Amino acid sequence: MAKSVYLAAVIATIAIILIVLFSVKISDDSKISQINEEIKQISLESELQSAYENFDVNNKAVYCTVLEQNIKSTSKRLSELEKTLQTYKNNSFNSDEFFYAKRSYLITSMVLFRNFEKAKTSCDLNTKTVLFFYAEDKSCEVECGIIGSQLNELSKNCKSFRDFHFPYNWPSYDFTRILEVKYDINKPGTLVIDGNIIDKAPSMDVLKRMLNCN
Amino acid sequence: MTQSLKLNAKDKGLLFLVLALFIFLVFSASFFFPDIYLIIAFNAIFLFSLFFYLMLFLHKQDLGKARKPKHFPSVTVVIPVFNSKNTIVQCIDSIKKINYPKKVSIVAVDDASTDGSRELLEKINGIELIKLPKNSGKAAALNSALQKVKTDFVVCIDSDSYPEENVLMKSMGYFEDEKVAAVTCLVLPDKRDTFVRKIQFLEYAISFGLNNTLLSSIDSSYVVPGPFTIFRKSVFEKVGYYEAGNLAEDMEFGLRLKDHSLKIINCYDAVVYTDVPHDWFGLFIQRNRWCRGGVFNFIRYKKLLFNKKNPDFGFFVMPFVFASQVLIVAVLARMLLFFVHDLFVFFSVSFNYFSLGGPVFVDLSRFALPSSFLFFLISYIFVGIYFWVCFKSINYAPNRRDFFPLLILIFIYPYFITFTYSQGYFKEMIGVRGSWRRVST
Repeated sequence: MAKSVYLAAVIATIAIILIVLFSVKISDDSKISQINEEIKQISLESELQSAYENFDVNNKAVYCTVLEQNIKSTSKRLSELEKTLQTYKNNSFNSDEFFYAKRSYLITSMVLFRNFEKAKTSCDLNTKTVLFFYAEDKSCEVECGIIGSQLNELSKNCKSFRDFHFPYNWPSYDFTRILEVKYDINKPGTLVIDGNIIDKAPSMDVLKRMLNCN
Repeated sequence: MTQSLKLNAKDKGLLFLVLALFIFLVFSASFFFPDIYLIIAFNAIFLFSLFFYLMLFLHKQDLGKARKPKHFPSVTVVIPVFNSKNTIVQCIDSIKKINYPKKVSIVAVDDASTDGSRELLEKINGIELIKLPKNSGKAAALNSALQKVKTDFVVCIDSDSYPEENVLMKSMGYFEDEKVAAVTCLVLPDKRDTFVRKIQFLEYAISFGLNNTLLSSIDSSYVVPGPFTIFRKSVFEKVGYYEAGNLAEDMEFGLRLKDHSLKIINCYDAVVYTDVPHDWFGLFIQRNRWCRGGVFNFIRYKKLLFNKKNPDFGFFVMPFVFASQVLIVAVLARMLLFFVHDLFVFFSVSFNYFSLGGPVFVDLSRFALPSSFLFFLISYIFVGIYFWVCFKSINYAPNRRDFFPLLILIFIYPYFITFTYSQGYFKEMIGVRGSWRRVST
């Protein structure tokens, strides 16, 4: 008798584990497809921003207004996406899928950063560019957490800067190394504000002044 | 009473390996494989055992019920007493009230009490009193009486336990099977006056009720609980007496019965009430002792692991107990560690952020439910079902006042036990001397 009970218990356990795995897979796939779709949309917007300069830009006022509005909305969406991505990456089984989504996100982020820098030059935008290099591992949890929280808080009401976040020295995203070399970044938790390196978390007041948010 | 027994070097080596596995799982497992594998393994083992017990229950619903004896052999009740002046009178009164057609003799062994228990016992009529000259511990006290018992059946009872009137009428019938060496009963806390006791009431109702009965149905019950166990007297002549100096002598004796292929049956219709720790500290001390005694005895009786003589015990119960004491405790410890770490980072960020002049920022995304939560949710659902079956089997209907203790028992209590067990492992490993002392009153 006991043998049949063991067998039934094993079958029931395997069935439940498979059902849960299947449900988790469906749920994660749904999340990742939403994230990928959003990245794709932002990526298309970024391409469109690049394409603007090939159009007739005689009316610079219109061109620059459209471009600025577009960059503003895409960077806001990108920032939201970063939070979503990080949350689900930490909590999901599909780590590979989220890795590829993160990679796409970072590439889009770099393109957007490039577009923004070009727009600043061609449209004389008085907006500061902030690059924030954080750590993907646990080496900078507190300091990076503080800086990330400060930037998130300021970006809600302050329109005088655009921030772009990149993981520091992370082999899986080797292309971000280009930015690290360009700005001579040596540690996570470093900010680059219009080319100036700040390698220690500034106070909120100092950061506000730096970003013209007063 | 101090534990004088120590593991030998070989057994200590084995314990060291277990401890190394435990530490590996808690601190460094994620360097080698994702945490999710640990979570799946944990939940799979847990679910398997729950399903097994539930299905076993469906197959053997008649077990654990009262079994009236056809014959009524004489019984002797042995009570080891050490500083129990607050409970011993009630204990003896309840034994005297036991409804049984034959004589129930009472032997109290005073283990050199210093609180006046001895003087109290001297005044009680109808009992035989053995006075030990110096404190020798519970096992030695029991043995001194057991060696003198003349009846075929003997009950070992704690001095703070109170059996119901029909306890023998309900349970003695099980001894008609000649292979049955001991019958255990449903042990419940006698008071539910503190929150800790309310939790323990539910815990005891589950483990000493259906859980023990199901274990005994596959001949795998391995503890003869100190509060109340009935023995066939000849068993002691066959396997020996209690082991003096053992922190969990009731478990050691149960394992010894297993080693001799003798049966322990649980009758959950027969109820015995006992005094239990009234606060968390007392509970911690008690469980720490149980854990250390458990580790010590399991390692001593490792020969029962994967032993074909008793396959249910050797291939299921013992490995599962091992897995639950290492893997489950490790997973819970790991989760606790992560939680504390996350909490630390969260408060560090919030505090520093605040001190740097910004508003306190709560990032709700930190609290998003992980996919792995689904595994735990399923396990908790089946735990709920199993608990419900356990309560129903002993005709206990949890009411509103059980709600909060039950929540704590399911969601928080395992972490308390984890902490207690983790400490117990280390103490046993490094050989800290343990002591048996009353903690409940």
